[in-house]
Amino acid sequence: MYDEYCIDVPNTKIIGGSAEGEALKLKVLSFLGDVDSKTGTIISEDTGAIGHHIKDRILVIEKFRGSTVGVYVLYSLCRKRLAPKAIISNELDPVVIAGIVLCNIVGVFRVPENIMKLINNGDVVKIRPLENGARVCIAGKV
Amino acid sequence: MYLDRIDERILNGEYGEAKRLALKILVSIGEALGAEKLIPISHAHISGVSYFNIGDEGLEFLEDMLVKGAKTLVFTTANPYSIAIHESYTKYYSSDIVEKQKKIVDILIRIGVAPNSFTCIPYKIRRPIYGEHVAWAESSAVIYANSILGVYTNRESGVSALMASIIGKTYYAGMHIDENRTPKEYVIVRGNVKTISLASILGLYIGRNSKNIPLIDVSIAVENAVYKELILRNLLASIATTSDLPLAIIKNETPITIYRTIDVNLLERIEVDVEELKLFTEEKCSNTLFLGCPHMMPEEAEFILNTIDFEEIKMLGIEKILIAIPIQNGDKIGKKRRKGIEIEYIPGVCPVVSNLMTIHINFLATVHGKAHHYIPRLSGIKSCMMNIV
Repeated sequence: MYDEYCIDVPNTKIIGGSAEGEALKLKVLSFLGDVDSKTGTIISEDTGAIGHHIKDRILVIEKFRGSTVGVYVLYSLCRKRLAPKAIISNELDPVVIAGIVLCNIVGVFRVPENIMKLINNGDVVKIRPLENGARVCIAGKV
Repeated sequence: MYLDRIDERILNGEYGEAKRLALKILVSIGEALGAEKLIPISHAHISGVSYFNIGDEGLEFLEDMLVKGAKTLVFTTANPYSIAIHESYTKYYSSDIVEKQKKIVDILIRIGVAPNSFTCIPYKIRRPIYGEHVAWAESSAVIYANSILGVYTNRESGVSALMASIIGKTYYAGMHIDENRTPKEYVIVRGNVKTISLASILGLYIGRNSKNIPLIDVSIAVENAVYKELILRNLLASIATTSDLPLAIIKNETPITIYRTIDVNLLERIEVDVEELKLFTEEKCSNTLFLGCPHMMPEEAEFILNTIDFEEIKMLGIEKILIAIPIQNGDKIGKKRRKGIEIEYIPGVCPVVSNLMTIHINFLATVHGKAHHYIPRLSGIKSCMMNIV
């Protein structure tokens, strides 16, 4: 049983169109070093999601870090069909944006922290672009 | 975004497929970041050179760009490559890996990257002057450029830096705009920072805890200018390892124009005591000490070798020191022996972005926060921090 509700988030930066998938929350992420580029598995303990696969997930990321090579890792995951469906974050990281553009996936940035907190691991998240922001629908298990 | 007539024609494909794709990517990123226009750059620096990092897909991407006619329009440097094509280590890797690594370097040179520029300290190849706008990838070089040189650059990805070098422009957003370069947090560091390793541990901590551009009040208690420069480089590189910060203002080191009008009382405060951060090994952990992350110039390495207490590191089990440096013209620098320890210089190379299990190293000691963070994640082995310099 799922209970879905939607929030219109104004002034967010959205790249790409709509996306739907299961949420995976990460405290911190660099695509280089924190994700196994061959399998799409999270390998760093401090991300809070070690062992999880990012394929087809909606990644909800608190903080980006480190390497500018992350763009190639995301691109290579896309080519192997191991990429996430979308990335949601409060931060706007040019490295991740480049990867999103190359991969043709969805990115929603400048999402306020209180809205990010509403999303739990495993919730089904739907993203739809609006004129000046994005609509985020969250369906959690009841 | 405003585009001039030439840009419009580039996007229409009139200047070839490589330029069309390059500009399309720059415009897409720029629009996402709210840029109103593009601005000319004087220097691009590309990351994503190690085959171990970018893999077959990255190699194919670069090959495709070359076939499409990619050519740099401005001076362009690139990051170091993996150890797989260094003459001492190439025998340990499969011919497939060696060939692919050589191919990446060859493609980048054919696109227009300066052949002797493979280093993570591009400011030692060409030092941009204060106020220049550049498009650099390599997080440690970006934070150094903005924070110490007063140069304007976003933390570009390996791909967007390549695209900027092909177009000769980047998007006017983020760090290119003065009002975005002001501190939002005030970090007060208690205690003196006297070593590279302590600066590294401090940098990793600040990166983990800063949410926005910090103004750091830190006392770097060394007299020697070479040593101080290395300490600053490692402090900043470590901050850029655990954060996405392109700029960290260091009081009395960053050009004063960036922070002179700031009232620190209005900033959020973070206090840190360096004495509480010391997380070093006091025991033997590896027989190899790695230096040069970011790279060191040979004269900087010489200074460090003169500063290290060789008797102390022998007690800690060190038998070899591996030093990553930029490619050298003329004199060939290779292996030496000093006070019973083997010293090997590896120009143009970065061991951190190489699979090191293959060359039978399974533990590496270092003094660099960036290396300490990435060695277990990228090269598949363990690392430890030594507080020896």
